[in-house]
Amino acid sequence: MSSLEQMYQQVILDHARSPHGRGLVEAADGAAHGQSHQVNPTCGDEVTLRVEIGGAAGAEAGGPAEPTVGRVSWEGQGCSISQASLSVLTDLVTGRPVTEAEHLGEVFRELMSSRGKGLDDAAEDELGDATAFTGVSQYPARIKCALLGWAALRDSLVTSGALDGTTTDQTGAARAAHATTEENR
Amino acid sequence: MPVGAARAVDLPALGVDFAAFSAHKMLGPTGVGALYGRRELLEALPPVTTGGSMIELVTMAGSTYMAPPQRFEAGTPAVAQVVGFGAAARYLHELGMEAVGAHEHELAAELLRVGEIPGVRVVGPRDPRERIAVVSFVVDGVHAHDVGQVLDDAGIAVRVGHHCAQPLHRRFGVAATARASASVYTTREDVDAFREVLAGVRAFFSVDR
Repeated sequence: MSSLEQMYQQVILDHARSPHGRGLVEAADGAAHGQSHQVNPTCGDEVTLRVEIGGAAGAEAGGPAEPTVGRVSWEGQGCSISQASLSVLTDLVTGRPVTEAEHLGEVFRELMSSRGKGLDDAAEDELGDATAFTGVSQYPARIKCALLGWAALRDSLVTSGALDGTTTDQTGAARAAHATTEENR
Repeated sequence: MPVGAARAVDLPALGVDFAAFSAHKMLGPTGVGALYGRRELLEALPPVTTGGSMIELVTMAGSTYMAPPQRFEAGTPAVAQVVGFGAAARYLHELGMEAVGAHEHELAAELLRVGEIPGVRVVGPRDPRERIAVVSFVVDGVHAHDVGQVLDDAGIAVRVGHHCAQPLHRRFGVAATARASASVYTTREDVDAFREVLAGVRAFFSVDR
């Protein structure tokens, strides 16, 4: 497989053609939610992502109530990598506890700094379809495309109040490729 | 206005007051350029920065400055870049700007033929006489960055994005374009190879509409 084919895996092309979660949906009345607008200034890709916070995933299982990621919706324009990444993350985090979604984001940022080598089997199992972006991590100029949606997700979770933005660590690669938020443009 | 392609201009004949240009737009190194100015205008201007090699006489009460161009060349000069810039200028002079212009004109016409590929649209004038050898285009259904990636994989470098012209892209209703440019070292065969790879881009992304 050429490195081009490694980058544009079929699963990425499929998601880019029929993305999941596209089309911003208003949050339900009274539902906690967060929103983020992210831009890659070098290429003009942008996304507005909205996330609704569900409740009580833990409570259903008899444990303490824990906020979950409810409906994820977004509107954006960009290359197939950025659009496919948004689609894949929508599938991956919807319905998960917020802490798990944040953890997946960190694993994905790790994958993006793997320079094409990928992660161990356990991490790849966690990431599912998102593992298809391993090839993208060989192209420093394109890593930011794959990270755009994840930056928007993280920022949305922080603005919703469900995630504390001050304590969670980010990997160096994510910081380097981190898209600007509207506030600091 | 910065221009990215070389053609001969007679600045005094055009009555130009000032012209600034960058070496890297004319086969030279980065980080160096030149300012052309009419002598009487340069002589009327104060220094931009002060430093070594630009003063005449310094007292506690005041200073006088060297005549232009030294007045504007304070401090340690970028010696290597300036020497490289000179070599680039001599090289272009030996090629002859008429020949350079003719070559670029021919390649501009070849580059514009990307508009014949189904799904490829050229942005801007389609008449080669109104162009230099820099052609921006969009591929319907494929984002410019994806177009650039496929070309890159075939060893063809284009620039993708908004090319420091976001309002213009908004004017044309496109988020980003890919831009191919040709220079003195670009051949017709290069452009043929470029068009051939470009023609396969939509198939690679399974866009046939």
